[in-house]
Amino acid sequence: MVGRKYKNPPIVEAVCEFRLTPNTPWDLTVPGLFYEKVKNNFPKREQRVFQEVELAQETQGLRHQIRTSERILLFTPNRKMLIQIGPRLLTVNALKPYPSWQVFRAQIEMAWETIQGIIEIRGIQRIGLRYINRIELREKGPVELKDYFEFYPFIGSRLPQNTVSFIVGSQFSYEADRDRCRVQLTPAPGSGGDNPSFILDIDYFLSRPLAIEVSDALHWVEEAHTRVEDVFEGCIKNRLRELFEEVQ
Amino acid sequence: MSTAASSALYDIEKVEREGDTVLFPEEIPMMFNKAEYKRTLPTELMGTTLSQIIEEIEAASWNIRMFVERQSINVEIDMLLSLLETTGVKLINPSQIIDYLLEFPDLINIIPQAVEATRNHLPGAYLFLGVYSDPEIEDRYLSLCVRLRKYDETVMERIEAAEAEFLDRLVDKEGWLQLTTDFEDPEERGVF
Repeated sequence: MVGRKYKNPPIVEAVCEFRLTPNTPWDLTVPGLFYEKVKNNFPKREQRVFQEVELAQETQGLRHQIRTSERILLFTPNRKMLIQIGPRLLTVNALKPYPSWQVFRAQIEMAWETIQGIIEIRGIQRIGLRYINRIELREKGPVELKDYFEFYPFIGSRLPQNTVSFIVGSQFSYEADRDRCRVQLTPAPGSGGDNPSFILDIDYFLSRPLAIEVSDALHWVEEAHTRVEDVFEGCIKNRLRELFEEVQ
Repeated sequence: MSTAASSALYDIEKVEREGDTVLFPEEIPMMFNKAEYKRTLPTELMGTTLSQIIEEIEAASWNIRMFVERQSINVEIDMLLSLLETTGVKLINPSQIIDYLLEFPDLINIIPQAVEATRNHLPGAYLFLGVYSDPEIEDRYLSLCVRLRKYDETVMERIEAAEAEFLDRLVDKEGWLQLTTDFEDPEERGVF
């Protein structure tokens, strides 16, 4: 991550998500207009269908419905960065190799300013800044998580010690619970036969809709980034810093 | 506001009143189409977590919407690979598969359909997913390799029938998924 600099950072994806309030006007022309403005840097356009689950209480009982919504994905030529646009949703994703916070932030700013030039944003339902880290150890076979992490499951001595899988997660509260940071550590899928690998997922998000002004969004993102860095450093031990090769 | 409808595994971020949203993390595998949904939703979610949530909603007479948060492509890929592993698909060099899907994420939705079609046409088949790199030309693609205990003359026909079920979805994609067999024993090493 940033703060401390690493030669081999474990970040496989960083995501900045803006979800706009339902009263923000949106129509089918928005993605096309957005694409026109960013196509020089994000020329590859793809469309994907995503699913939502809706639960609604009605007089006859609970209605449970799955709905689909379309999202446009705009990629840079090397496909290492993309913007997703769906109804009242804007995300900027940076895939590995992570380009640095300065580069990623510039793309977030560009996307946010572009969407503001197309629609009138009436409120922010949610912002999230998320970093997904895939940490592959050099050691083969079972490892002691406590040698590498400051955030790991505690398993009492009376429990079986041959853990085959685990999920450990926590949410931390910030700014009088305006923001939260969800941290989760799990084994990486498919890592059973190779060197042990783990996913450290850090998601800092606005937990109360409308808790910040639209004009403060980018400031919030900057602050979120600092918090995510702190949490990341709080989750790891020096053995991992050595693995990531800290640059002094 | 209530936070009662939460669980360790599915970790709902917020539950609010009328018209607001419940946000789930990506662990709920929603990558399948509607027809597959009932079969693939984890039973622990249907049986426990979701029913608890439903009870909460009914008790409070809320009208809510749940969104499955899937803004991260890595998380989608991880979900897919976990699901494939739990359904018995052997992943060959997962990091290569991840890299390929990061480059061509529009294949993520097609793979479950391909696996299901293969299982329908070749019951009992052992499935291996990996990235095949052609050494002669600069080409690489995802390969879903079928191995059987016993091969007969209908195998290729059945593979083609399975492939026909998802081939049209690959037409406008930049990545590729090839269904194939190497006619080896399932225990034999050296897939791809």
